[in-house]
Amino acid sequence: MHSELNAQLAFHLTGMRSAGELEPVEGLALRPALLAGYRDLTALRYDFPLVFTDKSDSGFVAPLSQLVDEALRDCPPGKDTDRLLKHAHRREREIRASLAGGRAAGRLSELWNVPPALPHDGELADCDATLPARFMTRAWSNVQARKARRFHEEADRLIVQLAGILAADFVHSDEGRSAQRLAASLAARDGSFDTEAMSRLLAKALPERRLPATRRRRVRSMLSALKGQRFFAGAELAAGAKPFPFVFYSCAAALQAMRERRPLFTELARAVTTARLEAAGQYVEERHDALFEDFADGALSAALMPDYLVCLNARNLQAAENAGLAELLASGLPVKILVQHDDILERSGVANGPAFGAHARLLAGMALGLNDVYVLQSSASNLYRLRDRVLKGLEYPGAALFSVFSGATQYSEGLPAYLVAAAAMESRAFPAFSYDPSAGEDRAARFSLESNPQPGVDWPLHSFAYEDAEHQRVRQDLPFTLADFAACDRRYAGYFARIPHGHGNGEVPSLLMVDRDDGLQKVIVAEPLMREARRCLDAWHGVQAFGKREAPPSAPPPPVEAEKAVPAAKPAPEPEKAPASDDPYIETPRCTTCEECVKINNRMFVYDANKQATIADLQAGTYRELVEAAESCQVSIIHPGKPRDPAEPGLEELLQRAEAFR
Amino acid sequence: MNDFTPECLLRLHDERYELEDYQSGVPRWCSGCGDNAILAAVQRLCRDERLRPEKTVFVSGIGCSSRFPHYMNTYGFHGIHGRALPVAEGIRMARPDLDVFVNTGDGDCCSIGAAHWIHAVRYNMNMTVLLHDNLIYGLTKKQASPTSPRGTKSNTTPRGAYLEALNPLTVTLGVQNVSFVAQAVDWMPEVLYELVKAAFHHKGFSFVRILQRCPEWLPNYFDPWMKDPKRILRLDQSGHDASNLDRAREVASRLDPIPVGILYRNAALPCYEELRRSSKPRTAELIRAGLEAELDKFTVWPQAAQKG
Repeated sequence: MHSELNAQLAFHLTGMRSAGELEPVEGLALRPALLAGYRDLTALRYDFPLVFTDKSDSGFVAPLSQLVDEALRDCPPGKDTDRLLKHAHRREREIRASLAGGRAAGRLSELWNVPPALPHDGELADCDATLPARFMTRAWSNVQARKARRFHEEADRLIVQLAGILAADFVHSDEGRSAQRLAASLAARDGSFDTEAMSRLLAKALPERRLPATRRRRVRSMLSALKGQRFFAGAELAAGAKPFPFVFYSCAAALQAMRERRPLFTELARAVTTARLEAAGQYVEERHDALFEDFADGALSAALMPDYLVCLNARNLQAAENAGLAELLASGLPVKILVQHDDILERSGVANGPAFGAHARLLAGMALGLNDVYVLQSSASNLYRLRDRVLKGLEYPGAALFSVFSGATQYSEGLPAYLVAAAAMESRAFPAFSYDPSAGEDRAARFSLESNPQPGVDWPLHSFAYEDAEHQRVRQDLPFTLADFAACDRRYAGYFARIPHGHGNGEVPSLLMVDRDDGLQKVIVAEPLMREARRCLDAWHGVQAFGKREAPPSAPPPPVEAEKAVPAAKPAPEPEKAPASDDPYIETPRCTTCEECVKINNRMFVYDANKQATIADLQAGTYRELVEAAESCQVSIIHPGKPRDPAEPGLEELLQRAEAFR
Repeated sequence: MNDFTPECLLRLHDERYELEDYQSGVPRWCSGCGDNAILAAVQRLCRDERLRPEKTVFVSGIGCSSRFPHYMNTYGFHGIHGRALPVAEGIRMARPDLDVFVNTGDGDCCSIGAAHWIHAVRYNMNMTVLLHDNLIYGLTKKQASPTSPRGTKSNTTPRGAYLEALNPLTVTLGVQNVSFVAQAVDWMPEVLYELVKAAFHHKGFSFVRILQRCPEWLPNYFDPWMKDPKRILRLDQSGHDASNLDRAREVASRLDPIPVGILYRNAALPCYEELRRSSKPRTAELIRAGLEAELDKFTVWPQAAQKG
């Protein structure tokens, strides 16, 4: 027993395996015990294969199983229902198996030849090395189509309005009022209308009144720029012109295209902006000419600029491409960059050991450090569930980085890409997260980890049941760790050693794995891998902490004196200074603009800026007029006060009448 | 709105307006008429909101209140009796860039124009409708209107109106898609202004009934309410929940005290012009083709007529 433990400890610490005590895992086709139930994925109904439909919203992609369920749900109940369901599920399974085996591709309608008819057709996609780029390109195309539609709606309206300005100008010209033009505008073709006389009459009555030549030139130039643009597909482009491509496969190519097209886009932006002003009749040459003369990069908002999509593979990111990637992300322009990782269990050439996910962490760190870049990291297996966030990132009016692990590694022990990708997320080797700068002011609002399994714990725990040597059912909770994920990769087989049956296993770190016959095996893990697992966990803790809201600084305790002190009484608001009872006044805010007082004396009473009456000049009228105005005021807001002229006739009676308004 | 440039760059010149910029002509309403207060409140709103006169339109039907567009230095359409709302709806469909106001009276809206009124509420098009309700036909010299209280003696009801008055608030609140209903009184100018402002900012059909004095034909009718503030129920001070339609209907049924304020508001309802909005630009060719198609329906081709 002691020698067994020594041998296990020795392997764990040194990686040296003593024959007889431990066995190599190569050739055993081991996989983590928690993956035992997923040996044949094609028999399971899950998110894949996906179908890229023709819908424009988040329904642009849907799992085949969902489409089948929708079709079955819409079938009227009857005796054939069970048969339909059975056939549909069998066909679904066959399609899934064909795609997984690489025997089929193309559109769903080519493979789905059984009832019921499915609600949508589209291209099929399995979780493989091509999925991230296909998924992103489809989502990007959807977003761009909406953007182009918005642009064309406005551009078409502006074109009509600008053309209307030129047309109105033309009909005011001598040529527009010529007999020939007038004749062309009439329905009558029999000569009963004398267009020559009409033309002479118009020329005599209304001299030619044209727009200034500068305005005509400006409008024509706007029209030319709007009609000749090549940034937004979907409209009739000028003869022979093609819309610019916006999908690139290297940063250098994208940067070059952006630099070359920038003057053209500036021209288009200038045309749209000036056309808006022109159409609204708000273009003022003295003010706007100078502005638009220098209209350049600084004035350009990225909100409507067409988005560039750059699809990259992490293995091709050399120094120059990395620099280009940083430049694109930092540009603030709407550039959407997909970096696909096919292998995250790389080895460090310098340390001669594992350096799991380092490249992906570096990329994400760089993008998060820029603060205004939308970042989404996810395994390909989870892309469908994160489709709304993918669309959000594509609609975000700035740069976005999508870092996706495809799972299509050549080193996996017979595991499909879907399982490898899912295991990467499960083991925290490639956690899913999103960072949306538009979601709020602080990191807690912008950062989300919620797509991860059990995001609040270190390693996700799952219940695992098996039959022991005594044929008893045993259930235990197993964590899925980085070591489990690494165990799926044959390059790391040397870091594992199987404990033969019947041998004990003390405190030496080990994993539960299953062989090809689903026999349970206990496997010792070497220390370098454990060290990497601890690094991975530390990185996971960093990710967890990144999105946590910082506690507000605690307020200093109030001084004792302050607690005892009675709060000072608020000084009572000073009463509005009432006019002396002898002075006449009006409660102007209550005036209803009824015209009564101003009709009595429009020099004594005038309206203020809100068209409410005030007393402007007491000298301009008599006390009698003041009293009469007070009496006629329907809301009784005029107060005549005392007479200024003691010699005014009839004062005694007037004072009695004024008493009611004191 | 697509954004190529910051808006501040476009508005280089400061657009400031004075009340006088919206005034046109001298109002011919009687002294003491509540229409004056409504005019002052609306002109003040236009100034404060910096509405461009060339982007603002007032539409009216027939009646004292319907002289309103003449006194606004904006676009205006003094329409035919009871048809202010269909005209305003047409403007809204064709020119969504304009701010549309409707001035209508109790006779214009609630009698001859009642059918248009009900459907306009249902269509919920974005416009501000001011119902100048003086409870009487004034322009034609004192006939009972649908909102005249029972017992009102007029030239058409010399022994007093026999019927209970129609309540424009409960009618409006009973129509599907109602989105904004308020009531104001012309003798509280600050409250009137605030309500007109709230109605203007509401996206949808905002209906404001304004109880107004007619010094000529119903003099002193509102005096009891004017002189006793307790007979005015200020909804903004009474904790009224303007999102509760049932409660709004209850409050609207009260005649005394008079409820003043926003009875009901629901900004979530879609506007008809948005539901029917077409992305296709209305080009000259499109309009010509549409007209030709319409006119062809009524064309009698000589050859066809001869054969027939």
